[in-house]
Amino acid sequence: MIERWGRRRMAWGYLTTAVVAVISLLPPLVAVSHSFRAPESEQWSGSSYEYVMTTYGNSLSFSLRLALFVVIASLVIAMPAAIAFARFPFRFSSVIEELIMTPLSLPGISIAIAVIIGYNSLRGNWLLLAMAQMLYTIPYVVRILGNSLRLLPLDELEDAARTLGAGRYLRYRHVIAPLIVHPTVLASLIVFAISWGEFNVSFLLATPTQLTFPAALFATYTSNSLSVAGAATAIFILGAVPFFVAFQLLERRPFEGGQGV
Amino acid sequence: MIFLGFALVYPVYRLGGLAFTGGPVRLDRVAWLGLRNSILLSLGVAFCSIVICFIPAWVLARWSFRGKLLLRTALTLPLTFSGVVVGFLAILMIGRVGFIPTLAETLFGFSFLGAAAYTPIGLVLAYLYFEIPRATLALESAFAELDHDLEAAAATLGASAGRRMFRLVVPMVFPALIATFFLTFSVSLGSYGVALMLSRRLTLVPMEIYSSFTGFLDDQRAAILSLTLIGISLSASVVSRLMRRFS
Repeated sequence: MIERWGRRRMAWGYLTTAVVAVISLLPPLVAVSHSFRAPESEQWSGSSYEYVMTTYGNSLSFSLRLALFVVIASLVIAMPAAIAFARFPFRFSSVIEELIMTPLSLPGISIAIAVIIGYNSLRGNWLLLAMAQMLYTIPYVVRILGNSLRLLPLDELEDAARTLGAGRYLRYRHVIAPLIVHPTVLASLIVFAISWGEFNVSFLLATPTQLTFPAALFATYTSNSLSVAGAATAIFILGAVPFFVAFQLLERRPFEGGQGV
Repeated sequence: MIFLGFALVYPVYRLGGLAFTGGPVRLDRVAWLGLRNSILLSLGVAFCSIVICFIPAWVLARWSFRGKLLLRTALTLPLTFSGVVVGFLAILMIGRVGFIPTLAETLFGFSFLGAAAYTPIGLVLAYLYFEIPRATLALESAFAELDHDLEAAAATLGASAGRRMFRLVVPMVFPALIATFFLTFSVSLGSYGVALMLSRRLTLVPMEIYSSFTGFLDDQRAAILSLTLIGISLSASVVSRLMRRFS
């Protein structure tokens, strides 16, 4: 801190930041507190959780499986692209990279309708749902992997390994692969959190048999008691927040992005 | 790239095809109203979030202290909530028997923000809830890139903290402010879950798309509105990215 900011200014700065953080934290806590209140008796109980698990258990497991699939598929598609952009840039590769980022700034509902109209015959197929979600997850994989690959002195390390007599496979296995484990883990965390919480695109693409959990959440908001809705929200938060917190703690730098709203 | 073609370009192309066939391309009065409301709401929210987030972003970017990582994580937690969740939380906090009105009732004896959730004010507050983390992170990374030496130089020349802020820092981060403004603007514009939960009287474009697609089965209207929304968001994000590159 080179600036002389003065104690009072510092205090105001910390106070404002803390207040904003509390405002961010308070609503989910209130939701969780509602979830333990039984609808009729106003007593503390876990009955709402049982209700959510029995009624919406299917969509819970569907969302989990979908998120796992999206993580794997996004990595498979985006990793080669990210490595290519970062290590072997070609003409227009930066333009293509920018193009990959564009879905992030497009409204989910518009994309959902475009996807439905474009592939009307596939409507109700979970692969279509996964594809639409991957429009929003692949950019993150490309960006996270690309950024960290660019920061690493990979060329020098590879050259060093080469002079030590390592072949192409050994170089990849012992030099490149260990270095991209960290960004790959980061990318998987954020992709899981996004797929798990995605509503805008998934809501119109989901069907009653393949209801994603956020879509089920909406159902509880419109038709169940505050307690059940609170319990469903608590389960939703439990599925997303640990991944997000782990991501933040591992990333350490400010990272722009997150859920489409 | 091939994935992008299949998953994005072809559907949007079909969307365009649908929008321009089957009758003249025209928007009804309600759609225009929704467009106006959406744009005004998003502009207002974008402006407020920049004003609110300026100080937290500065603190996180420039001061080093214990627990900074935790503070940032707490502050950016709403990023993981999709719109419907934010809408539900808004109902819990500022609904008819929400947390804040009840708290105000017990503390001060009068209700504050009671049943505000379904009014335009509630909508603005809910939008701010999910925009604040975005704006904070965008501003923080812009502030972090600033050159410390210039401020140090200004300080040695005797410029006060306030003077440094307004004569040096604000002009330097101005492109970043504009970039953040358009980023939050385009996110708010396409936001849909919150509106689905809260919007009762106010007509917003995403809701119009939803209702004409699912309720009235008017695919053409939905397609036209979707394309309009895509167009505006895309232009906003282009401006945002250009500005980001400037800063």
